[in-house]
Amino acid sequence: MFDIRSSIINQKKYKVFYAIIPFLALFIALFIGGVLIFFAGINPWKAYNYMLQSIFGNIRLFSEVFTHFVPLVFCALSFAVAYKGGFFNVGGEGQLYFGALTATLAGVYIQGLPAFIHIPLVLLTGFIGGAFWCWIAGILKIKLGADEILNTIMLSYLAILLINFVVMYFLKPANSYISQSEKIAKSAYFPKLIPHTQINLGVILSLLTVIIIYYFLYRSPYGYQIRAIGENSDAANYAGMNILKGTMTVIIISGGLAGLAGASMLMGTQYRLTPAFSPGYGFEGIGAAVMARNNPWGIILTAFLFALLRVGAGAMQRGVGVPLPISWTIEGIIMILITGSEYLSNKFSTNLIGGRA
Amino acid sequence: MDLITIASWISMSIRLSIPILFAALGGLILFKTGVFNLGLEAMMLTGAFLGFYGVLITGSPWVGLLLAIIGGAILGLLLAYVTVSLGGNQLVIGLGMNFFALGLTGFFYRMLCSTGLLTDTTKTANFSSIHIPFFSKLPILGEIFFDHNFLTYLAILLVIFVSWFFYKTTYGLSLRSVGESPETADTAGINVYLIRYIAAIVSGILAATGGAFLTLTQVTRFSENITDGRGWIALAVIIFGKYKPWGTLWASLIFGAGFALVLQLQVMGVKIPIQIVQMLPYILTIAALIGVVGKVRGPSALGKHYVKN
Amino acid sequence: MKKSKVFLRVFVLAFAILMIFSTLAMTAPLKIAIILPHAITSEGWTKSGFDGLMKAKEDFDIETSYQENVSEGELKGALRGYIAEGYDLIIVHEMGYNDPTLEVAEESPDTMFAITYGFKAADNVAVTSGTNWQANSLAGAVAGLMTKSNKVGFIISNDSPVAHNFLNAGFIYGAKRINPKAEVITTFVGSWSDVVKGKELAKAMIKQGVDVIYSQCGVVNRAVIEVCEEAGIWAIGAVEDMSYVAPQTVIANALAPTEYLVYGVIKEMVEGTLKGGRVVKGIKDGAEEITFNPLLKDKLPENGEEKIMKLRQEIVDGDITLEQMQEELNKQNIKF
Repeated sequence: MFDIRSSIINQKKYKVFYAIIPFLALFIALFIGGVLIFFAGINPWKAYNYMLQSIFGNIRLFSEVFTHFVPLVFCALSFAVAYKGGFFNVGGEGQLYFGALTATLAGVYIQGLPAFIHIPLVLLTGFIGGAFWCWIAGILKIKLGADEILNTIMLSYLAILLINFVVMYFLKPANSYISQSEKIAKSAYFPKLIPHTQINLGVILSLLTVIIIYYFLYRSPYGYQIRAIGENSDAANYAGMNILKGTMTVIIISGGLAGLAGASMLMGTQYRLTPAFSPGYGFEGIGAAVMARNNPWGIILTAFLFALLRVGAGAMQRGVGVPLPISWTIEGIIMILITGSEYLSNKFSTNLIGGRA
Repeated sequence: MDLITIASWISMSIRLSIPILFAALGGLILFKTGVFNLGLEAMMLTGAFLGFYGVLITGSPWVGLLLAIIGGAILGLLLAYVTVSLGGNQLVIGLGMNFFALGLTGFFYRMLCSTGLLTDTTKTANFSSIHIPFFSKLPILGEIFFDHNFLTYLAILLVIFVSWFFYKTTYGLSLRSVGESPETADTAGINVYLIRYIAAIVSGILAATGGAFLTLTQVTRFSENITDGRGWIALAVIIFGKYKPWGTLWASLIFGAGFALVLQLQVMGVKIPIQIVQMLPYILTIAALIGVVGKVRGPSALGKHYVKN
Repeated sequence: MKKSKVFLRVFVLAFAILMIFSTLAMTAPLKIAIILPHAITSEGWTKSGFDGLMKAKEDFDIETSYQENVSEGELKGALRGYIAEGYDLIIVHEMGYNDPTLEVAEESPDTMFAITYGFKAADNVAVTSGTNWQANSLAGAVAGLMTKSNKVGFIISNDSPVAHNFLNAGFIYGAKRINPKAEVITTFVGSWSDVVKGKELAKAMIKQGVDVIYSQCGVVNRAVIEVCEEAGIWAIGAVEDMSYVAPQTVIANALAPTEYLVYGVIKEMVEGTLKGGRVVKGIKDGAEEITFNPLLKDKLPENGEEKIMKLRQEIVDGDITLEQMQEELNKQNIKF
């Protein structure tokens, strides 16, 4: 369940160890963060304590975690799906922006639809927008051989500037002094599951997407093909699989998921497109995906953790004045440690399964 | 545009491109050994901060440069350890390092370098332009070529050196062979790990120097996130320069000229949306990636972890 | 012991406890928070707002908190965080965050909100704004006054409607008013933090013959003034008094301390007079001002100060409005 290897060789101990590492990394990062907080003249114990109390002590504040959780899940899934199919999609941020743009168009300019039609419609346009932006990267790679890591990064920055331009010069209402689009129609808002909180339809949709992606990747024959292509495209080709079609499918799904992240932010919390729409979910999603070792179930956990850290960073600053850079440092350390720990888990699995890392 | 404007534009282009050139050269060396360096932004930021801090506490830009170099080397070492020895994902470590450096420089900056909330400045102590006698007084040409600080000339010399090193020395050959096929290199008795380690450290040093260029020559202060994406531009420069030292020089000059043009056109009163011009470097890079400037081919083993048998 | 005595004692005790609690509740300090769009270390606009909070903390018995670097995506979370933690007044220090703040304010009618430089208010949202043009137009006037080459420069952070319609329009109007021959070069850095580009812009302006520069771009301002000092041209300080950066270069300061607005809102809150609605404060109210560097007063041309003060008086008297300015510029076919 955790990885293709472990699904073949079901080693229980190995799985446990695999799962412990991320928590160990989290612990170390929080410890180092605590040292920094101490140097800032604040009692780290008090800071962390305040963070936990403020998040878990109040349902409205707790629900803020889901504001970040939903886009993070989509972005992490976007990276994970692409990764499993052998495509490194680092451009989630740009696809998120582009998905948000197309979703805004559908949300603002299509009016008068009932919610049960409008919501799926806006989601769909968001998916298409993200998929389109990723498709460009895919075409550049497949047809013209442009390395996808680099071209997704470049396309990402391009999309952010493009949206900035489009909002300021085209979407902004003529009489407004603020650079932002009009609000999307009320019928495209996600209904709230619990009133006065941020727990809305997006949470269900993101969890549903995790399930769908899991079944698609691990339980459907097509998903098996995609993973085979990702593992070893030569072997997959030899086995008679259509590499081009498989990769393209992965690219479309991956981009679409990032686009859904943008659409869900639009429909769940922001309601309008602004130049600095996303606070970096695209990049953070990569961190969450890697920490979960690209496993859809794991992503629920890691995306939640990253969302928690975000809300916690805000709470610590509000409550005890912990400088914001410390939270970034903690996040960075987690990502570095997780990357480094691939060795440990590989070595451990080598010892257990004997040879294959 | 009259001649004076053109001279001012070219001179500005050079000033804007040198930090990127340093970082790109650093990135290139590591790329050539087959390892991605997405931590360029982190290394630049660290260099910029340490350079500034060194001047602030000692009053000597040389100490600043030294601190920046040490900081860059440490980050390079970290990158090498995680990717080469531990086989971690080269992509994610870069992203992680960027978060890490952004946070840590911001933190130490606030702790160490500001009285109240006003930044301390290092107004008097930085590398100023070397006015080359006679030549710097030449009209137009003087401003363009002979009125820069020593780091600028060092960067150009480095391009020549790296190019000679890559293509004319056996060490350079070893380095490139590691990036093309580590297996073959290993069989030929080349220490793949060692070369990648050294390249990573040099990479960190150069990128940090590029960052230090910002705080030691261009401005007399540090501000949080002062690099503002220059590390990513450096990445673009490497590709646009087709993974070649001279190409890197030309590419960074072209990008620098583009940035300078944005500023120069505004000053001349030409009204164009700034976002459009800001997009240009990325469009150019994508154009380069799809082969508009000729076939761009990276090292074959780029991004692949090598396990020694 | 008699029953009545016990009763009396219990009563007194209960009364005393009640009194203590009620006085405690009455003196419980107001909780006031500010949300800032950039880092508190970014000078000018953001820092000035933060200073306002700090000053108010010294003067009044209040509990304060701040959250910095809050992007549009995180704004609502930060607001709801403060609401949940029981803050009485939440100040949002960014005009662009106007609409999301209104949406959150609607959810919690018991909390008071304030937006500095906003446009739209509500029952529990007080918008307190500077004029965005008065100090800037006087800066333009000073620039027009001081220039010998008839070229003056204006550096703005980001391209935005406010930048064009208020800041730039005001500056150009002021410059043209004092010196009809003056040509204004307006540029955008495209960021609040890229000091390098700001400095290059100033250098390029100077190459073009600009001899007075006014920079409205956070942390870039001081760097630009330093460039001016090196080149030996005049600079005009923005937001705060910046004469200390280069006492022989900063000829005047266009003060528009956001500190004043933030402090004012908190003061009204403490005094219990803060109401929802939009208030625009200009020179008349002391929110904006033009001051000359006392060290350099002798460098002003003859009658120079009088000219500026006359324009200032016209603004104070309401003889000049933003609409008039924009119309006049349009009439002269000047783009802003």
